[in-house]
Amino acid sequence: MTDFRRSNRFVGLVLLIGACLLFAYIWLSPWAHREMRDGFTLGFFPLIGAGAMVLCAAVMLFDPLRREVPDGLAGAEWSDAVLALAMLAGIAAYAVAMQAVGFLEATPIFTILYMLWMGFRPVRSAVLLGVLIPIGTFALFTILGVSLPLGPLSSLL
Amino acid sequence: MNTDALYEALSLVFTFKTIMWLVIGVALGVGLGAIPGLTASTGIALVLPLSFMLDITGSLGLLIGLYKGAVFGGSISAISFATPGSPDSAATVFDGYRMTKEGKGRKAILMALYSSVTGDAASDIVVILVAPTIALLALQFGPTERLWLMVLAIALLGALSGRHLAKGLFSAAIGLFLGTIGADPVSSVARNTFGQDWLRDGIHLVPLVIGVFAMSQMLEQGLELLRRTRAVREATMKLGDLFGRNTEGLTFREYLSAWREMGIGIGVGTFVGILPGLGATVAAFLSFGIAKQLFPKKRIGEGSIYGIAAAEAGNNATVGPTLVPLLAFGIPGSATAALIGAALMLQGITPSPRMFQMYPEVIYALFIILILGNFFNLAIGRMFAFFYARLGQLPGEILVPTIMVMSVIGAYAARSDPYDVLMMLGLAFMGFGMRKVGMPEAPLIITFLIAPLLEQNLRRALLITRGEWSDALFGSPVAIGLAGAAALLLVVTMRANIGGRLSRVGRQQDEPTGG
Amino acid sequence: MKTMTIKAVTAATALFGAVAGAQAQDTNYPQQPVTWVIPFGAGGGTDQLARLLAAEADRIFGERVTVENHAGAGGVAGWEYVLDQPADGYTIFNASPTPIITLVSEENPPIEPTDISIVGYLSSYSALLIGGEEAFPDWESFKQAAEDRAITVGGTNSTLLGIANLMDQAGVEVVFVPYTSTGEAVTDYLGGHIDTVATTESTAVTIVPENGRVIVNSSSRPLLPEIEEQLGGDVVDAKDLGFDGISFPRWVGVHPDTPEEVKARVAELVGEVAQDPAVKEAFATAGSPIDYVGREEAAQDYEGLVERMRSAVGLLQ
Repeated sequence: MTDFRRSNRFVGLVLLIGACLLFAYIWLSPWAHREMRDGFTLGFFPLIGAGAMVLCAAVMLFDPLRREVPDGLAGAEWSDAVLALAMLAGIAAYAVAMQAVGFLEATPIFTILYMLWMGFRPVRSAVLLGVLIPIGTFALFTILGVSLPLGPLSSLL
Repeated sequence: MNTDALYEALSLVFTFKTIMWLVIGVALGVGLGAIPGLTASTGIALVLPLSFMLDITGSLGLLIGLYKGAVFGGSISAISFATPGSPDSAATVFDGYRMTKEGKGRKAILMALYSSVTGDAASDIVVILVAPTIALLALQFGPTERLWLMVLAIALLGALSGRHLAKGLFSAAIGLFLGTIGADPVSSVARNTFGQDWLRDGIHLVPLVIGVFAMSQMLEQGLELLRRTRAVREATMKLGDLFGRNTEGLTFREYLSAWREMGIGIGVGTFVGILPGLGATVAAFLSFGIAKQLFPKKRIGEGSIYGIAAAEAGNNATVGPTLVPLLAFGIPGSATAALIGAALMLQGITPSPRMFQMYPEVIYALFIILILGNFFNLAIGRMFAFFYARLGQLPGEILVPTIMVMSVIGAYAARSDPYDVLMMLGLAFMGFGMRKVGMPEAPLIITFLIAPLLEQNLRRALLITRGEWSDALFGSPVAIGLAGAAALLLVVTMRANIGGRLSRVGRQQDEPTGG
Repeated sequence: MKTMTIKAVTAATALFGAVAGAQAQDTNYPQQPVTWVIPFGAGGGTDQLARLLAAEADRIFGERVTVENHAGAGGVAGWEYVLDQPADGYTIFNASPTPIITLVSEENPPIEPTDISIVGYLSSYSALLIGGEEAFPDWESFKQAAEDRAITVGGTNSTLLGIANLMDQAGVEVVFVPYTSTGEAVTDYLGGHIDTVATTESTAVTIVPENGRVIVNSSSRPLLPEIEEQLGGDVVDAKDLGFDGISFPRWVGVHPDTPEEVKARVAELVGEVAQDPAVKEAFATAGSPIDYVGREEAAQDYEGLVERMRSAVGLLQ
């Protein structure tokens, strides 16, 4: 990445485009102009929010800090975003699986895979901890009276 | 004072059973509070059926102990893992987690504990001494006055925006926008839902806080683990020896030196607690913002015990005062107060102004339990703090996946709405992006909480005055006074910030997230 | 959340039932644990009552009755969840008027409020209009005052809806000031920021008589005698004034495609639970005394309720 593409000005530009699209989307939605009994339209307050975003992003293009590179972006690569999204996708898959097949069934698979992915070794300890942590969590939540999605395994405990 | 009733109350409270339930309540509360997504009100809802089986003092001990413990408990995980256990400890992440990274986690947790207990105890005393008077004062705050209180809170945004004002305000604008998703407050027609029915209830605070604070941190740490940079290895090592014998505790002198911040927390928390509909999260952020504004030299938000003191005294100082409207008028001011009211009703005592005459011993018992709970909170809180501190010694490879699991359950358990989990993950990615570009999270949370209240009160005031803006805005002396204070605050903030900002432009900050 | 075993069993029974004829299954209801779905998170009013009820229901159903919270989308998410489950009576839906209000306020609702078979009402609450004793000694004086100036009425969505329905029929114009919680509305009333407040019976008893009186009960169901007495007696209600009132039920329903025999059996069991002394006592102490309405009457009332809500909701938009 070039320096410009790490600068506040570039961040501002991206945010400006996004905020403008958001503003336009709401402005063009028919509901936004429906008037309520107190005279405000449904879109009035959402548009203030989107409008404020547009304004702040525009200021970022020209304020004194526009050339500075934020610390977080200094060493950042696009692959960071891809990896973060991959991590989130895995978590989302886990969340769906947990609700479908039960907490005790899905969680060990998730914890073992993620521990190994994060680089925890040896594999044997990862498997052991990956099984023990969900059981401990399950026990804790059950004692506290929070119901977690149950699967066939929960009857064994 | 009715001495017979007081004597009866003492004999009711100082029994083995009552004390046992109080201890169980505090321990449960601290434990629940430290788990993301499980807040005081969830905890109380969970034990409500149990409280039905206890006598009145046992039930009050259990519920109030749980409430006190939970409000403090959230700060333990906020400090140790940057994962606020409940939204009200989100403001503690800024200073607390940074201190953990600097190897001062123990000091941070102790500061949080002591300021929580101090704030809680002081506000309890205020409640006992002047409850009816402040309740009457709170009645002066109608829509118009509350509206200006919100403006005052928004005027503090400048202080929480960090060194790049435009980014801070952009973050505030996101919060404002997210806060408008859901039902229109006047007509309850769905708005801004992008055609999604499940957005009709709006975005819930718990998934928002877990996503923006906890999960986005875990993404960042997960990435660091994957990248294996040298910086991380240092940080993990520090995390490892954090709570060894050699780490710094908190000296009494340091505790005392935070008296101003705790004072701010007590004042703000007590008042915010009495007003219905605001809550501990608002109190924590307001106290934090005011302290940061008043004492720029203390570097609040950059790993200072003073920020923790303000935020934690602020959130715990709402605990006693939330009960004031319930006791004075029989009106619960918050979800938690409503549940405590429900517990009283299950015991056959309807909270109402008549309670003081009809059941003076219950009122006194409640007051004694309020005070007593603080001591147990202190003792049990310390134990839990060190238990959690041990968990904090685990290496990141174990901690990160575990906290990810806890965050998923936390987002889910709050309302059992599966969409809350997806929302939390989406917001986590947003939080991750904000962190990368150096955009602070505090303004987002503040406007997300405050802007809807501002809108509701503005529109209520306008409905009441039949659309007369001047009456709706300046209809009472209190309103004019608050408006003046807000204007003054804005001017002071602008001058101080712009002046300070220009002189600081060249200075580097290691991480601008703290605001 | 259903367990996988239960799902498998349900699927198997459904399949088996379809082949072997539904007869045997119907008369034997219930043969497996029953899920009691609440469309709100833990801790709300409906949730508290459901948990008190489920604690006793196991005994009467002879099977485990578990409360499940399916919150979201203004109470509609839980409703949709129920409609997604098999229509076998093992998923029972227990809600307040909130999801109905959500659906009638929506231009294009995802489901219709009539997509449910009502099996009974557990209890009902009314919206009572409360005002100062001196300003509004009776309904006539309130009507007169409303003609002279704009009277403000604060309340939550549902209580305002009840009052709006009444004012609509009475031709009285007032200003409705919506609040997110009863606490805020009552505080503003006590502080004199709004003229009147619309509350439920249980909140009303904390305000009356010290800080006001009941001007009118917007429901056509008479108040329970002990509550009416606490409120000073002789409370004027919508029926007395010749109007069609709304009373807000905590209702119980099942999937509309449930076989008739199962519906009848569920209604019977729910009725038994509602009239159980332990449940009655628990509800009474929780401030929401059981006021059970059986299947036929409730189903009939429900249709009218939806229509009246639909027309009143327009006044609040």
